[in-house]
This record gives sequence, C-alpha cells and structure tokens, in this order.
Amino acid sequence: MFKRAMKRFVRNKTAMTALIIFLVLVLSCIIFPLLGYNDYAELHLENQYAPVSLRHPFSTDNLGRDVFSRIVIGGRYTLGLSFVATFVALFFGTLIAVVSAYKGGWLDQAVTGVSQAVSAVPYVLIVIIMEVSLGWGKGYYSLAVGIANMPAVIARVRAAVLKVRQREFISAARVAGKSDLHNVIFHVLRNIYSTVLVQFCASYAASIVACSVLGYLEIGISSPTPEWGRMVADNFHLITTRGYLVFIPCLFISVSVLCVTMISHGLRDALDPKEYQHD
Amino acid sequence: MLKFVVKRIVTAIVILLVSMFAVFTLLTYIPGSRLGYMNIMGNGDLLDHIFEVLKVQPSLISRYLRYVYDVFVHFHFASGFRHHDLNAEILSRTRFTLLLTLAGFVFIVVIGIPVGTMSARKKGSLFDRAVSVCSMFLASIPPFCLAIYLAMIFCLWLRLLPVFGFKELRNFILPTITIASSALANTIQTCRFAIIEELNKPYVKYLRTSGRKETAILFGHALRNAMLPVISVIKEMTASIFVSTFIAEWFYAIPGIGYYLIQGINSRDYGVIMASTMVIAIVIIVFNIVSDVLYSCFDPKLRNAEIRGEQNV
Amino acid sequence: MTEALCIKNLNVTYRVSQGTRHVLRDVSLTLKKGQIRAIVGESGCGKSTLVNTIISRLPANGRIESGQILIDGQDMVSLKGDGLRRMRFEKLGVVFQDPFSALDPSYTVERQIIETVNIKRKTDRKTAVRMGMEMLTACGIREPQEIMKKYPHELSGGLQQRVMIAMALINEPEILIADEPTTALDVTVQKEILKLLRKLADERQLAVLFVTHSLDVAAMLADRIAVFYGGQVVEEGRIEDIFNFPLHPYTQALLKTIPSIEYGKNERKLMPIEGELFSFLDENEGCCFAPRCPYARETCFRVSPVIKENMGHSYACLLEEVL
Repeated sequence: MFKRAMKRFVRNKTAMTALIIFLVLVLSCIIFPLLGYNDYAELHLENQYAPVSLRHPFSTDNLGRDVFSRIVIGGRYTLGLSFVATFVALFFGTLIAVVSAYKGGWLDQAVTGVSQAVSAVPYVLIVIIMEVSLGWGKGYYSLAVGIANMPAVIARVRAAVLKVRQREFISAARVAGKSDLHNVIFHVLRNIYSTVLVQFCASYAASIVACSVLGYLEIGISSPTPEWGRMVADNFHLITTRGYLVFIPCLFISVSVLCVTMISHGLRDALDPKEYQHD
Repeated sequence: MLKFVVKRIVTAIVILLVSMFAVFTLLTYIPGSRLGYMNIMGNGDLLDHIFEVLKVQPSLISRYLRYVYDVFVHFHFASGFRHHDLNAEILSRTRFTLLLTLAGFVFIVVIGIPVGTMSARKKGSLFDRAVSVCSMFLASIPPFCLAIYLAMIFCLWLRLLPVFGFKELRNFILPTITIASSALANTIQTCRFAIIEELNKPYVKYLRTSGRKETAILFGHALRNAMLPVISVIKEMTASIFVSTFIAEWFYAIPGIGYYLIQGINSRDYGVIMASTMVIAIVIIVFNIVSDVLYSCFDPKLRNAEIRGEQNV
Repeated sequence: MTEALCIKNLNVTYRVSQGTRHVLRDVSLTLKKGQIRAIVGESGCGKSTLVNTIISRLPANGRIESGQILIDGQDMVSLKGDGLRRMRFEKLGVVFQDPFSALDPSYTVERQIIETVNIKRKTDRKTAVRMGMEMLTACGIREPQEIMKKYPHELSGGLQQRVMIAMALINEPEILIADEPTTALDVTVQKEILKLLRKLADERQLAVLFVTHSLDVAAMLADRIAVFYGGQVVEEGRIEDIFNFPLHPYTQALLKTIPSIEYGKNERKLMPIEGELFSFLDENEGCCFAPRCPYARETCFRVSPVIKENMGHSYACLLEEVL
C-alpha cells in the first residue's frame, strides 16, 4: 500500500522535481554555512554592492554583507522555524483531533468550537498575543504559527478519524474487548497516516508563508539575524535602486513554498488516488 | 431568518466579550504595560456613580466592565502614551481598512466565481489548465512577495501604476490584488470543483432530459447549488484576507488599522495594540455574521426551517 | 393504436481501456400509445444503457454504432442541439430511480414546476401554478398547495416520486420513460406508484417504458415485457405469454428466482441462476446465455441465435423446445 503510493509519487514528475529542488535548498542551507565561506554578519562598508563573483554569487548589500551567506543562514531560520511550527501544529493537532474524534461527545464539540474560533483569528494577532506574553523577537512566534495552523490540522485529521471510526473493524475490535488505546494505535493511526502526511506538507507551506510574512512585518525575528522575510523588509527601501536585494529573498521564499505545495499535491494524489481523481 | 440572525448576533456578542476579556487581561498584566483602567473611576459618568454606590474595588472584572463601557459608549478603545487622540485616529484608520477589505471581497466574488464557472464549464481545456496553474501559484506565494513582483512589473518596469499613495482609484488596484490573491485562488478552485460536482449529480441529468438549455442549467441550478461551498470557503479565508490586508497596508503605506497595529508593535505601544486588536476583532465578528446569514440564504434546509418556525438552526 | 416509440436495430458500444464493449446488440422494440412496456433484466444487462441512449445521455465513451430511435417518425439519433431539446420537452418525460437526488435541492416544488412549464411555453405564473396543481392532483397528491411550497428534502420518497412524475408529465409528452422508479421506495408506496402509472397510461394514452430488474414488479402493471440479457432482447411478448409459457431458458430461470407466497414451503425451491453475469468484454460467438444455460449444447457456443416470432411472442434461442 505505502510502497505503491511511493511508486506513484516517484512517477509524478512535477512533485519529484519539486522535491529535488527543495532538498537542494535545504542541504545548501545546512552545508554552506559550515564551510565558513563568508560571514553573514560581517560588515564591509567599503565593499557595498560588490559585483557578482564567485566570492559573492549574489553580490553584497548596502552594508557590504554577502547576500549569499545571508540567504543561506536566513533559510535556516525561515525553513527551520516553520518546521518547528509545523511540528507543533501536527503533533498537538493530531493528538487533540484523534482523542476528541475518537471519544466524541462534549469534548469533541468543545474542540471543534474552539478550533473554529481560533481559525477565525488572523494569525498575526495570535503571534502578537504570544510575543506580548512570552517576549519579543526570540522565535516564540513559531509556536504561535503552530497554534494558528492547528485548526486546519484538527479539521482534516478529525474528519479522517471519524471516517475510520464508522468502519466496522473498530466496532469489531471493541466488541472483542480491545482497549481504546489498542484501537487507536493499531487501527486509527494506521488509517489516517496518509492524511497526516499530506497535512504535514500543506501545513509546512502555510508555516513558511506565515513566518516570512511575520519577518516582513518586522514582528518576527529581530534585525541582524537574516530571516528571509526580514531581509525583504530590511532592504525594502532599496527596491528602486538595488531591486535584487529585495527580489532574491522573495524568490527563495516563493520557490520553497511552491515546492512544498507541489510535494503536498503529489503526496495527496499518490496516497489517495480515488478521493481526488476529480481534481 | 430573523430568529437565526438574532441568534447569531447574540453568540457573536458573547464571543466578542470573551475575546475582549482575554486581550484585556493579557495586555493589562504584562510587565511594562502602563495601560489605563488601573483606576476604574474617572469620567464622572453614569458608570462611576454605579461603582460608587456599589463600592466596587478595582478588581479585574470591574476594570474590564469599565473598559467595555468605554468602548461601546464612548468609542474609547484605549489610551496610548504616544498619541493624544488615539480614538479619532483609530476610527479614521478603520475606514481605510474596511474599504480595502471590502474591495478585496468584491474582487474575489466578481473575478473568482465567473472564472471558476468558466473553468468548470470548459473542464480540461487550455483555459482550465492555465487557470489551475495560475491559481496554484497565487495560492501559495506569500502576499508580500506577490506585491513585490507586481510592484517590480507594473511600477518599476512598465511604469503603469503608482506604488504608493491612497488618493486615487488606481492606487487601490495593486493593494486589492494583493489582498485578494490567495483567497481568490482558493475561491476559483472551490467554485470549479463544486460546479463539476453539481453537473455530475442526478438532478442535472434530469434537468437535461427535461429539455432545458445548458446555460439555464449551469447558471440557474449548478451555480446556485455550488454557492454553498464557495461561501463557506470565503468565510474560512476571512482571517487570511485580513492578514493580507495588513500586509497590503504595510507594503503600500496605507494608513489603515493594520499599519497602525504593526507600528504599535514595533514601538511597543500597548494602547495602540489593544485598540487595534479590539477593532479588528469587532470587524471580523461582523464579517462572520454576514457570511453566516448569506450562507443561510443559500441553504434551503436552514431557510425553510425558519419559514415554518422550527428551531433546528 | 399507433406507435409512439420505435427502436430499430440499435447497436451501442463503449470504449474502455481493454477495447470496445458491445453493450446493446441489435435491439428492436416498439411501444404503442397507452401501452406499458416493461424491460426486465439483471443489473448490467444493458437496460440503463438503453434508457440513456433514448434520452441521448450516453457517457462520453459511449457511441451509437447503428440503428434508429424513432419518436413520431423522427430519428432521435440524428438530432442535435435545439432539435433534440425540442424533442425532449415535447415528446419525452423521464422519471429516475432516486427521486430525491433528481430534484434540485435548493428550489421549492412550485419553482421547479413553473420552470418546467416555461420550457415549452411562456405562461404567467398563475397559469403555471394552476397547471402544476392539476398535475399534482392527477398524480394522487391530496394537498397540492402545501406540497408546492415545500423543498424536496421535506417530502417523503413516495411524494418526491409523485412530484417527479408530475413534472415529467406536465408538458404532455407522449412517452414516459421510467427508469426503476420504484426501486428506492418502500413496498407499499411502490404499489401505489405502479397503480398511478397504470392509471396515467390509460387516461392519457401515454406510452410508458418501464425499466425494472424484478419480474414481479413488471407483472403488476405491464402490458408487454422485454427480457434483456447481455445487451440483447432475449424474449419479448405479452405478459401472460411470458409468465405462462416462457420460451427462453433465461426467462425460465428468472421466473424461478421469484419467491411466491401461494406455494407451500418446500413445494418449489428458489433457484438462483448459476454462473457469472455476462461480461461484455469477451466477444464470444454464439448465444450470450450459453455459459449459464442448463440446456446449452455445443452449437449454442458457436452460432448466434436469431429471433423467432410466433403470435406476438418472440424469443432468441437455438433450441426448439426447452420446456
């Protein structure tokens, strides 16, 4: 079942291209800073807007800092913090959804109500409240982004669990005296993993968008740290004269979000071909 | 219908009061915030008299009540320490935000539903595939990236539109696109999918065999039934449309409430944060009520329950 | 009595990934005014394809290879666009299996009826409503005013089906095609609907093509029965002939699957038909029922039977006497 799905995924050219591009992106964010090529924070005021060269593949910014190394480090923050957010959303979201959908009753109603209410709040407000109470500019916002992502995760996973719960083998297992824990681990989780996996990618894409938006609005991480959205904000005043300083981080954000979206579409098609054949 | 609307409004007021309480508590207790309302008396009005008579101590609840009273009776949202006339400021800024958001919603409905319908009608055609690819791009690119691309193309390269300013109508073209982009893409896809689903349903088969015109079936029946999922997706997107509005305000330097909020955050002005948050909360709740009422207009099950006075809403 | 519907040598194929399936083979049928013809067959025998072909709603991979569908002397197969549309609302009324999903959920009965009336002629609202009320009453609905104001989901299955029939008949078609109209209903409601169809056919000289999978339902109202197997008409005749002297082995087998209360407990055994249902994929020569036929001989697998006719009772079997 899983193997066949993976085969279908590998045959999907768009998704595979997206996966390869994204892996290259992630690996370069991990590896290049380790080579000690350039320092991302070192100022070289004499070397503003250096010509493109091997040493400065993306030139330098207004303070003479190497753009390439800033991008590579920024990727660590953008992609890493959104990964944390996604992990928070998925882990707690799945946990809450499985328990509430499996138990049902007032708990389920309460969870659905609260998650609907949370989903009506713009995530910027959630982040602000979080930052106000935990402290500014330290990356706590990734938790808030995770919380903002949770309603979507809860809705999807909950629907999947309800679908599984209706099926007969669960009642059969219950009649056979199996405990709820046993049922959840052996039947429910096995049947919703595809939903969770697809939702992971969708959530990751949404988190990258959210984190870079927060960086752009200067609510996210504070300034010298080169988060991609923050880089756009920092160089925004140069858009008419040195457009590339704005364009390059923008491009990286767009490409990584697009890649993750395409991977999630590919996964969805591969894991659940029947459900989405009309798409 | 009336019953349903009243019920929704009552629920909304409760939600509003609860969320106001949450924000109020948080912002009053964080260190460094010197928000007002430490002293619950002050304006010398009716509420002061009541508090005096009841000998109320300045507890959290009474301070909260004072706050709610001020908001709804005096339109006094908060007192900041940088702006003297914070409330006038808030009200004038809310106008811009409302204008922008409404423009965004209109854009989404006016472009999204026709394009989605056309796409479903010509399923599999070049147009359909082009729309699918475009909407995938639009749905995934962050709004500010789109705004930057648009600014680079239309303002810096083609020099067709101005980037900044908010006086003329054409100043609003790019902000509206920025606000609408991702919700528009979602609306198009939902509308397309819903209409394809409707067209495959048995009642459409019946309508066709009854000799109706294809366009009459598409617009009179399929589109009408597809409106329910479309409305609910637009409702789900409301929060993200507001985020896009903040971004558009920040990007195009439009003095709306979002711009004010972000300024307030960057200068740690808790009065501004509190006032803007409250206004945004009120606006969102109103939008939610409107979309619920719209939904009930299109849902025969809700509508008829109300006609016969049943209470299964 | 004149012929309302005449189907001549109809051949329909489906293109599928494994090749083409020949789903209707040389189907010929006639239907007179005031007559109810039942088409009986197991699921997958091609009877719904026949309905879809008549109403020109074949799926995209279906194709009419040859043959004619004549309604009042006009060939439906060659019609397109507005001509086809005109034909549909002037001559044809259709009732489907599931009345609930065949009604648009978001309009009241009244609106749907007015709209249907307005396809044929432009009338004012009042006339349309009056016509609708009359039609609903004719379809056995006692409080038409009340029903008119309701949404489909507020009606019971029987009422929904009556509304469907009323809507199908409101433009006074000559032919009513009923595709298993009672399968989704309760047994008691089912009988009422059958009675209603009989009454309407008699009163309005309506030609009814009644598709069903059960012989006993067909027996309750039909004048003539056509038994379908493997996309062919294997036996056709008056209802008495079919029930009393079934000539084709398939009809005989089908009759044995009907439980009967009059017979004692053990006097007659219910006989399921052995073997797999005919698949349209293997383009075998010979009789399509041969693999499941208890009387099949070696020739049955080689030679396709031709239709033999005797006093309005025809059947397609090689064997002279199988009784």
